[in-house]
Amino acid sequence: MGRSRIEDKAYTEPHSIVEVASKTLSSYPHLISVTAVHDEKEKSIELIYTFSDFRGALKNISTRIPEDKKTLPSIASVAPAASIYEQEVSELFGVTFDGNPFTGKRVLLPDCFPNNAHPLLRNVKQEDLEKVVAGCMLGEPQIYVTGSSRYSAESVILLPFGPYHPALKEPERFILVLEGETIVDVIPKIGHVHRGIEKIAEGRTFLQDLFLVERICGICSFIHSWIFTLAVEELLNVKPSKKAEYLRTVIAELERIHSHVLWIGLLGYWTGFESMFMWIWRLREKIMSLLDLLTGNRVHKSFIAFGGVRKDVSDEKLNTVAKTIAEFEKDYKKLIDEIMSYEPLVERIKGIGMYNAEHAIRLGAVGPIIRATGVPYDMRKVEPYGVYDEIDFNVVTGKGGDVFNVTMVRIKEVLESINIIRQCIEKMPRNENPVPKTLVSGVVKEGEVVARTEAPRGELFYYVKAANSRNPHRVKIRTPTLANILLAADILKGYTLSDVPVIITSIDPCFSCMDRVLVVDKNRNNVFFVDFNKLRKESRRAR
Amino acid sequence: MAQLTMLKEVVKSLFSKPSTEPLAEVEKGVFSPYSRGYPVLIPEKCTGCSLCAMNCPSNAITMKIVGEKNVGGRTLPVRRPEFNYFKCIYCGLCAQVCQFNAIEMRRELVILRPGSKC
Ligand code: SF4
Ligand code: SF4
Repeated sequence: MGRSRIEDKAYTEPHSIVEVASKTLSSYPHLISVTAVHDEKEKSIELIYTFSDFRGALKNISTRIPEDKKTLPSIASVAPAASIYEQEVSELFGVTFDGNPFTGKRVLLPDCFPNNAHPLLRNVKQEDLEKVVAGCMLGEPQIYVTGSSRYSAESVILLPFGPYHPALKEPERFILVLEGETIVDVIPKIGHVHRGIEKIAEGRTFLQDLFLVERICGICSFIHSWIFTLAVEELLNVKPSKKAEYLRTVIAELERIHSHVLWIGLLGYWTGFESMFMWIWRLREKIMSLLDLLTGNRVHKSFIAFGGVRKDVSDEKLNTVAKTIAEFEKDYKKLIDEIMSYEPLVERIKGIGMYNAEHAIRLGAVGPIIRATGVPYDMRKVEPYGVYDEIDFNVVTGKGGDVFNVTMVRIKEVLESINIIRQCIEKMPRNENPVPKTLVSGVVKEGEVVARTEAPRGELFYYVKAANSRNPHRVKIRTPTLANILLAADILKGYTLSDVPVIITSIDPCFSCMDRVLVVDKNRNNVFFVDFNKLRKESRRAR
Repeated sequence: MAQLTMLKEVVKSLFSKPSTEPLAEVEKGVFSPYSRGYPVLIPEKCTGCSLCAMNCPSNAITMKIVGEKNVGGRTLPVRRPEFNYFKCIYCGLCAQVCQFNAIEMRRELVILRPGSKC
């Protein structure tokens, strides 16, 4: 579970994709991803649209376009979330989606990137790309300006927020369109930490990729290696032992606690409550030392292996985990009680960044963001992997989307994770060897697999294709932040500048994960480019 | 009420010992009691099969020719892995895949400088 081989793709003609997609959406309302796969032998590009209902069923719709005529209609009109996913494919593969609101814009790749270079095509070599990118750094940054007639030129101010800003922990740019102090439009310009991991993955063995994908994120690193392992285990047809499954679950839940607690601390930081930040991060050290104890590493655990885990964990260590977790729970409950009874904080986060379930579903949101509106969409329940089906736990939901509810969902999820870890340690089979006989993957037989897991930030999606070789043919990664960014940019509208850090943070954005991909705003009917010099001139004239 | 509980926390923090550890303490021991350490070759055990270099996730291992051997009348180069500790991610995979236990993960703390060998 958590993964499945793609066996029954529904093939359709490119021109009828909109019709098929809108029919599919009525029973599978959540578009997970648009995956493109280049087949250099057949000289064609296959596009796989993966849809899900909210109960665990998946539907893969596939269509094929020839390499020399890469055009097909966009489904963004029926599934707004598709606009980002299509844009990603368009920049990386050179496919044109007719009717996509982003058409003609550069979202993910640098502005100076040549128009005819499409990095993920199989015949593009990594060395050539390195040359292109090296020459690219010299260009001046271009600034997107919305020329929408909704705003009169005198009344709006364009405020660049980032890429380097005290309120952003990672480089990312948001152009805020302000009318007075109120935000009327937001244009995210992302891609500052794009590392081309999907391309690199094609040039390395499956085993080496396991360590590569772990480095996508410095917070939720284990879940990336776990989902990749799930996919490769399905391709190799191996099964891990029960103890390995339990250990993986424990590590993943510890990681969820550390990620959520880190986020709660940052919420304090961004609302100006720095003692909260320090208290809660001190508490988090307990969890970090447990990760160190179990795996030997605090951040990038390098703990998982195809068919098991890399090393066994002694009973003594497990008892230490149980003890420390109990201490942590006590301190955590007390601290949260204190923090959440402090009215200035609660007042600050209540009722800002509001959205509802329908809004979240339409823009494809996942994780605590969608659960805060009451939709119980959690991969651990919907499609249990690891040992989640043997554990008794609840999916935490909120009463309506705003920063306060999102915070409460995360706070309660930490307690739920503690509960899961405790049960895992009780039920774990003790006399079993979780380490597989061989760690090396070798040649992997042909096949396509999709995998989904619940990362701390929401549903994570991988597509892995093997083609009888030591290296994967294609690895597609859709991280939760990418799914949530459209909603985050949308809910900023109507709030004031001082709310920006808090609202953007509420989705717990992890830009590095997302930046194998780029996104822009959605009201871009008439977005145009203004270069830096022109903007400077204009601003002088205005003075 | 909230202010009071918070005040308690503040007073407690004033009198408890710092949460951070002084560096001098760390330098005395190993990096962490659970760390995997860093890979060191035991040359006598190595057969030069290159399995470690093929699987190293960060390509930190290069197979260096260190001599020649005579097999059935033909001279073949003898290869041994060399670690680049600035590329290494200290995952311990090389030690685990080696069939001859020729790589040891060592834990004593040493200061590594460019080109330094252990
Ligand atoms: S260290 Fe081990 S794996 Fe590496 S070349 Fe020597 S024998 Fe082979
Ligand atoms: S420890 Fe890991 S990264 Fe370092 S040399 Fe060995 S396999 Fe390579």
